[in-house]
Amino acid sequence: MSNQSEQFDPISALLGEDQQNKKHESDQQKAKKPNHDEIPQWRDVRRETPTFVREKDQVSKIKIISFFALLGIGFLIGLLFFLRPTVSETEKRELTPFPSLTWSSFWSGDFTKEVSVWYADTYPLREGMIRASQTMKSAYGIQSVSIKITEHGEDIPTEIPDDIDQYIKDHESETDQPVNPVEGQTINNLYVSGDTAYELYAFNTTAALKYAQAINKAAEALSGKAQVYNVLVPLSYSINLPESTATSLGASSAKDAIRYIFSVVGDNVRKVQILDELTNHKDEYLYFRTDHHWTALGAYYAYVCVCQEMGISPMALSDYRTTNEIPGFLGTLYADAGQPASLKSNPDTVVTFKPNSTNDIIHYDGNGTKYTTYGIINGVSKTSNKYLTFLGGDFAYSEIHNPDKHDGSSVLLVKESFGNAFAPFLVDSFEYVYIVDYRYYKEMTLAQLVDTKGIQKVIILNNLVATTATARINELNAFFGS
Amino acid sequence: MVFADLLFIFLFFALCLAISTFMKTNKARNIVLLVFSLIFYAWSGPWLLLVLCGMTFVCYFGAIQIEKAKEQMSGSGSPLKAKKMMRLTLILTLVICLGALAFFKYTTFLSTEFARWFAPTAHIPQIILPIGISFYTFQLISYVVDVYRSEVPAQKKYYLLLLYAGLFYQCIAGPIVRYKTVAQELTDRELNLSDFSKGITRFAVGLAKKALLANTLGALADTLVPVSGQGIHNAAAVTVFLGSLAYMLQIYLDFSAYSDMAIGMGLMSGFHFLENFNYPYMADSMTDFWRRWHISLSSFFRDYVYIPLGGNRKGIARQYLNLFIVWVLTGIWHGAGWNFLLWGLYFFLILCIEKRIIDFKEEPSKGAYVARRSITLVLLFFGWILFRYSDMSVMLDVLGGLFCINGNPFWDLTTSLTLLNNCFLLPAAIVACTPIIPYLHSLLDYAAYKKRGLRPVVRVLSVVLPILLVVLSALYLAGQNYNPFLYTQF
Repeated sequence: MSNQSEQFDPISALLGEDQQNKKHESDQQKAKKPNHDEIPQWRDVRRETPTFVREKDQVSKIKIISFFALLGIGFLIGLLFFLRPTVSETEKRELTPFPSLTWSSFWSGDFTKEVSVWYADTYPLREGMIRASQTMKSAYGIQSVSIKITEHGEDIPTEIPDDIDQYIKDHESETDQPVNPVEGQTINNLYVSGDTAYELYAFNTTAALKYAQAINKAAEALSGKAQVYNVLVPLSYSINLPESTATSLGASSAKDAIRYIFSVVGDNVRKVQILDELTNHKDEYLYFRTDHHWTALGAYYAYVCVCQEMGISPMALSDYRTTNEIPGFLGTLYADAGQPASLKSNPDTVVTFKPNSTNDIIHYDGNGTKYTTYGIINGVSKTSNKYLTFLGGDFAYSEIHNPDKHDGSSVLLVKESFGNAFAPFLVDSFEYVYIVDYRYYKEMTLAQLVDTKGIQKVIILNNLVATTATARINELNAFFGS
Repeated sequence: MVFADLLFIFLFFALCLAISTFMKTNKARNIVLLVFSLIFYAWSGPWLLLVLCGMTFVCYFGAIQIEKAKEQMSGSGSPLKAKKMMRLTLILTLVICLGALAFFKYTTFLSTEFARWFAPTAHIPQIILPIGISFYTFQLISYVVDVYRSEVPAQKKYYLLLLYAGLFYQCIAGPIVRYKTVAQELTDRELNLSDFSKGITRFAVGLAKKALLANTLGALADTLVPVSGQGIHNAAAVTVFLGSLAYMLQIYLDFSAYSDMAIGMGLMSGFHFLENFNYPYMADSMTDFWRRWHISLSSFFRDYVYIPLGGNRKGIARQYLNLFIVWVLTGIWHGAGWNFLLWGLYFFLILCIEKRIIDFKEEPSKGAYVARRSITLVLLFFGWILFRYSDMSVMLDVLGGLFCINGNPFWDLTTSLTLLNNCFLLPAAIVACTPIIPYLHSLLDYAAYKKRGLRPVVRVLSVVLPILLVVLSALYLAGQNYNPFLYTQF
């Protein structure tokens, strides 16, 4: 160091206070040389505190060796490639794979960036470290009731813009947010109170309009071929929390949002209102407390509403001969809320109603590979994600044939994961049930599929959060062929 | 690559430290450090190396030419011509360095602004800012100017100058180390146990400040008062206040954490960098604040802009003009945006007022001292709001929200939950901004000095605490996949 005193008189000349500066300097000198007879004074404390007792070389050595040992252990664990996980059980997602190397990704730095993410994401002890860090995080405050908001809702407008497509075009860049909290991604807005976690929905005007226009395009494409039904699923807070609580948490009103979206959707689409029916049964177990999905019971009431809209009579709950209860389910909200003890000690129970006619289903994944090993309702004792009991998970395309019915009736369900709990109820009411998960299905457009299979009714079912995610709506549009 | 990252700590730094520590000579250590530094820098995109190496070469070459001209001046030849040559080389080098900095930093902003007024349909070039360029350009400038001023000899070895500019400890987020501070240590430095041990503590403290406090505070600020402005308009006043407070705490803890780690890693390899922060939120005036905040930057502007312009020696009007220039530059150094300019001018104004109304030679009374400290903190709080939002309408929403002008409530459920969920984090962060812990440490130290029996306790703590902080930070980092350093964007 060439000039010790420079350390603490940075900008004195800039301010022209040389004397002040000198005073600081002398303070500094004092601080460096402790007066061994006086208790250290608060005003003497500076960046480098004086030391009364010199650290022994031996102590320094132990410290240095421990530090090296710590880095060494971390280094060696990092080298254990075969122990690197590829899937995170608690987060229910696939971890970042090792990136592939191309010249352009290397040159731009994308490759190395991905390597950093991969290294941290698949670090061998990660799951345990995360659990430990979550315990640590609970030390930041009292977490019995907690909130996490990363997306804020817009005010829900009362008027529809004159030129909707132009409006979407003008505002599209603003909605380009990383919102896609459907299956396997983190949930943006979360509220945990006692044994219940709620995902909160944040309204977005442009996305809502875009979603409604997509539904209109679907109806247009099927005009004269099939009837389109649209179901919008509210989240649990809209049913179970008082409206004033939801508002003060910044959550958008599902009622207003559904009204707004349905006011843009044309009259050639049958708009299925399920909010009131769910509210009538609010004391029942309609939504999971630790997962962002609804229960089969919640989906059942939506099915009743759809049947009413279609003019057919729904199955009664008491008609189902095989029901099952699967306890011990800790879902996505539990993982996302940081695995709070209040949820862990009160896991969900998944209740299933197996269709009376058949439990057989044929699945195809996004690559067209066929699966016949899954049923409509599945045993899930081995997997932690108990929601997989419904259909066995998300497949791009599925077909069910009801052997008890011979009227040629057919229905297509266009869905994301909320549709999984809903689909089993359709089985007994139709001869043919087709299911498309629009996020993965790439084979045909909606109109082509309806033509090929001779489908009469199309149900498009989305939870409200899916109507805020540009990525989801783009996938819908792609399927609808626009 | 950033410091608070598992790959950095357990792969990159672990390897670099192990290899360089066990090298026998400084030359070998330098080569190891240089190789690691180049990899570190290239991690953000290998093309960035061209910029770093190119600019270092310009300054390397310029400084040698300046020194040659200087020798000619004192030797035979014509001194006048040599002097001209010297000045010309200096100016040319500075123009290239500052030109490159300005090009990368301001082109996109200036062309956006130009297009907004004159050519709305024009295509705007999107230029990527090479990471750390604001920091290493200033380091290189200080080097060339110091050679010109005969304060240091020119570095004859290119790789050593490249090591000075690109050393990964400080290359991407400071401190702005002067060449003269490390000139000798580049080739002639010693590793010793005491420095190494101090370095470990410093590194651990920095890492913990970043990982355990700053990152969480940053997430809190982004949630409560997001830069996009989403949701701020309706947020309760106290929520906006808490979010802005979290940002104020974050920006200090984050930035000083980076300097702590740089200084700590420096100590572990025998470098002694100067301090960059001295508890800035303890300042009793804005004047004092700028003596304590990002010291390496403010002293740079003092030595290479303010004093060369004449400082306070050319009359009061000229002094204010010089201050004005310094603060405009300080503002825009932090970023290309109107808000940064506004932020610089805000400090210019406050410092001018302070010069007129505060008599710094007088010891303030207790009451005046408390008042001055509180006012300074309040002014800083609003300063960081100017700093944070490049979108003026969002900034107005935040300022309006603080006083319920947006028609927003004073307090709501989100406010109470935020307070409850962070009731230990916020006080802990405030404590970390003050010298309370060092003070307790010195008390303990004093006690151990008086009472021998306490010494083993102090020894155990001095080993266990830093290690524990690194372990806790690593645990925390494992659980988060997104943690860019705030200051690397400047």
